[in-house]
Amino acid sequence: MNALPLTPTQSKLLCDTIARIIEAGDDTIRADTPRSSLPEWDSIKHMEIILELENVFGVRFTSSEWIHSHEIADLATAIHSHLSNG
Amino acid sequence: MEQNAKVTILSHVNLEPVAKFSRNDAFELIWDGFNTLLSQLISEKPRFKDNHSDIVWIHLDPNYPGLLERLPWEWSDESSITSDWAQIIASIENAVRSFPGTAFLISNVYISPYTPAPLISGRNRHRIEYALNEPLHKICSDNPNTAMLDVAGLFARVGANQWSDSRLWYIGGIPYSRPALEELRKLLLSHLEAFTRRPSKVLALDLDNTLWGGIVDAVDTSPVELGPSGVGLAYRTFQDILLSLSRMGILLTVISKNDEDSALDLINNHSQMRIRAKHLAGIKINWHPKSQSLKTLSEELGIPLSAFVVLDDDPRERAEIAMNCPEVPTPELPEDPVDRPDWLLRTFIPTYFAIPRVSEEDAARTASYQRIRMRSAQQVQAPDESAFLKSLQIRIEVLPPENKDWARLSQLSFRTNQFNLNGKHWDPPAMMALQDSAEWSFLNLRYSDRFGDEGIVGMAAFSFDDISDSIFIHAFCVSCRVLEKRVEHAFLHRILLMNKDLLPQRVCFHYADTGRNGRLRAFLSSVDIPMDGPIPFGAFHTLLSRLERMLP
Repeated sequence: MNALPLTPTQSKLLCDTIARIIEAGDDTIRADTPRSSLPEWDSIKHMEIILELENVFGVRFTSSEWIHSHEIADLATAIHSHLSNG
Repeated sequence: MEQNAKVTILSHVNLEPVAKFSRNDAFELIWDGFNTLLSQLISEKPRFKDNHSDIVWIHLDPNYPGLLERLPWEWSDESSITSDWAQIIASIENAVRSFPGTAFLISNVYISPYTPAPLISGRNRHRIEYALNEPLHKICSDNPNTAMLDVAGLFARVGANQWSDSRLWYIGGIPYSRPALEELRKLLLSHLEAFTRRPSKVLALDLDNTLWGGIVDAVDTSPVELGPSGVGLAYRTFQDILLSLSRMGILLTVISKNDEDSALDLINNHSQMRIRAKHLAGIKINWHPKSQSLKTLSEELGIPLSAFVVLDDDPRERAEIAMNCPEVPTPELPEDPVDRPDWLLRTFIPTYFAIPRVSEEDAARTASYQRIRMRSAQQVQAPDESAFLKSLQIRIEVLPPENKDWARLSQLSFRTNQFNLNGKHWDPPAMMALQDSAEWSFLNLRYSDRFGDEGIVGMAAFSFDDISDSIFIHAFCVSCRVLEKRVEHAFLHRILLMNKDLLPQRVCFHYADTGRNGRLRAFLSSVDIPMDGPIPFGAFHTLLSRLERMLP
């Protein structure tokens, strides 16, 4: 599962957060799950996901990351970047 | 209003998250999309009619582009308000008047304190806010199918720093932060629920350590905590807030275990008391169980226990009431008296006393219930019922409602329990739509006597079916304040007289047993309407002549 630039715990937290927001079942979202397979993940849910990830990881996405983070891997990259830069 | 009411959101900013976040079984929120506000308001066939919305929420925010040509900080003072705003106001008025069958919830507006230049600071900002809001308030006061959503108050509570999230605005056209959106959603739902809920209307208050700090008795004359500073100020503020509820039509009463003379002396003579005896619709100061005092008050006022809420600091008293009057809520007060004023405003009042509109009758309700007590005293003195009724010098008027009366008629359908034909809740838009269809007629009943004017105390809705030659009574409610004076007989008599020229054969009542409308059922039985069929009915002329004989 962990093809993401995050630790396994962080990756699970990321996937679980997305699943919780879009109300998908437990363990239904993996690092490689394409967004296109999740019709519940609309623009409003995307906003909610990013705001919740900011809370969970203690980071703040830039507007560019907001706009260009389409997939789970994009979100992971943005989170990793913020965590690495302290 | 039925459950699963549909609510269309019209705004020039993106409020789709409010619709998406709201999973409330009672309401279906429909986001109409970007920049559809004006076109929908002036349309003859707006989407909110196509989708059968019960309520339209109109949300304007002049701090963001898309509404007015210039942003408020570009104005020098209120005279700069452009014709844009007048056009928007006219559009809202047009929609409100064109669709009387739809309820409109209209946000008031605020002006952000963050401006690039100090042109709008302090005084000017408030003047501009006033100038923008005044026409919105006027629409709401002139049209019974409207109510205001206090977004300006919400902005003040959330605070300018927490109100917005620039990324949401620039990326998604959503001007508000996630916490602000959540607060906006809560505010909206509380108002929507106020449209549909049967609100509490009597507040029963304890005295010691609730209205003042300390205990009053005949022996210990220590001063109580009640004054202009410290904890005494918290108690006084608590009373001030309750008094403002009284001005909105909530009846204040006292149920307390005290020495009656000492407690009344303090209520009437303590310089810092805000709630005096004249503000109280009922007073029970004795050593009986409080549940018993509540039941006595309920009988005297003619208001069911389910409409009461108790404020009492003592958990044992609350438990006794909960045990013996389980339908009466007994919320737990914050332990520290200084926390109680805020608790009233933030939690207690929105939970039990959310009021979408305040009518003239609301404001005068306490005085009205005090007149009930005066009439009761008169009744005791009178030798018989006929002499009593004659001494009251009753005057009643039965008239079609004017525009300003619909909210009061709706309120009567919500609040009248004992003398209510079927308990159906009518909202102003639904009544106005039926009246406009010319198939139904609505009437209001006004009552006055030598003790005072009670205003509108009854409502009725009826239609004539020319196939069966029958008058169908769809709604018939009379406030318990005026029952037992043959007023209900006179009201029904007038309704029949108005229809006499149509040569009706029967009068049919859309009666339903609500579990609380026993007095209405007893009334129909008393005029010989058989109550065994699905739609009770009686012969027109028999009923008319029987009522004539029973008039006061």
